[in-house]
Amino acid sequence: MKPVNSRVLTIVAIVLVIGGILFLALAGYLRPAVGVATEPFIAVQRWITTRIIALNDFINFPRDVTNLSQQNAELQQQVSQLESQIVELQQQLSQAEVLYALLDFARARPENQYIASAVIGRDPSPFLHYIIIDHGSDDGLQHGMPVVTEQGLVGIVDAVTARAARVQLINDPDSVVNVYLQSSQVLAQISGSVTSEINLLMVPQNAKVPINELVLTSGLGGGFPANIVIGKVTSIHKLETDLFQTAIVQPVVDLTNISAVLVITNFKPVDITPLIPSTTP
Amino acid sequence: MSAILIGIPIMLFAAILQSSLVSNFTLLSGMADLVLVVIIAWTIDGRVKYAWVWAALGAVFVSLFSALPFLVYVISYGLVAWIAFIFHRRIWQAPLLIMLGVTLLGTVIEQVLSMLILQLNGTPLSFLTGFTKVTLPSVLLNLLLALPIYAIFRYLAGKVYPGNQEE
Repeated sequence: MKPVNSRVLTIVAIVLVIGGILFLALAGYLRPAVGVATEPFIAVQRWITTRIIALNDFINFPRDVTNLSQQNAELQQQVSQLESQIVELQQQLSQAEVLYALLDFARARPENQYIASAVIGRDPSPFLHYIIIDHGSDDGLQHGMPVVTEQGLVGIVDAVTARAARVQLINDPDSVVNVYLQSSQVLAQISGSVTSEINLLMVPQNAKVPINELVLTSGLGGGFPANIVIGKVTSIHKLETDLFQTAIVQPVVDLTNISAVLVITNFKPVDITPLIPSTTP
Repeated sequence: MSAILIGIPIMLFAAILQSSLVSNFTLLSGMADLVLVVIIAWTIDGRVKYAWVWAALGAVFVSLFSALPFLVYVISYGLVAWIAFIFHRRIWQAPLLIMLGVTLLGTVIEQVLSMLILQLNGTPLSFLTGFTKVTLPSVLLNLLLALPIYAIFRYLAGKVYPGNQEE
């Protein structure tokens, strides 16, 4: 019998041992031993991984902050843009509301032709009460055309350029409008003042003027169309020694905060100055 | 020459601001006069030449927006620029004091002149009411406006006349 080679025996033994270990491992008998054996390696691996992550964070973190700062700045810019858009839209909305109101007013009075204008400035002098509007002779505006809002009378076109016009308000010291009181039908005049107060003048002593009496244009004198609302009587001054009563009128239009107006373009004012008799001999 | 050229857009801008912005801020019935304060602030700087041109430009540009006779602005702005110039030559050590003093005096001069011209033109105007309700509040508003405008135009004069020390 040929003796078995020791080398072959060694290989067989190794194969059997490996096979046995594999069998034991697959069968689950080596799990505690493997756990004990791999514990130091896991600990080392965990230590190394932790350090690598820390190093990675150290290298990448500042870049993230920069990115976040950029994103934050971009978002803040977007927020400011949106906020300015909101303000712009709110302004457009309020402007649209004013224009809708003016349009309603214009539709309610189809006999008149209107041009809607925005108020772009005021007279620099505190003694005068004028506004500047953004339409002029190129749009058909002429001196003497009445100016209103949906609430009532504003004034009269005083001077015109090609693209703008100056409007004398009814509270200007030089402004005089012929009016009547709605319920009593008393004829009178209103006149402005440097303090923007509107005075009701030329009211006969025997006329009864109630508080809150509505004041409207009479159309006399040809300067304004009739029946445009001006305001309400707020206080009356009556002295027995005076020829006429006077009163203070609160205008229905807030003349200090007008943003848009309507110019009545088909009204032709009548100049009655030549008909007024001269006082000089 | 550059001071004259730069005066055109500045005074036009001041007049536009006066009409569109400053006129909306009133105290009682008074309002500030930005153009007047600008003229004073420019004139009292020792380095400035041709301040009267700025006064003339201011008068022309404000008259574009105002129903007040052109003459009122020409006379009042010219007079105020002259007073500011004289004051600056006499009391040059205290420009801020001159600024406030001339603003007070200039506002009163401008407004009294306005009232006189309006009365001559037949506008019914009570002098006492005008002075108490319009002029005095306007003086206060102009004095409030004087300090920032003075600082701005002192800086501007330094830019327009970089080599010159203030006299």
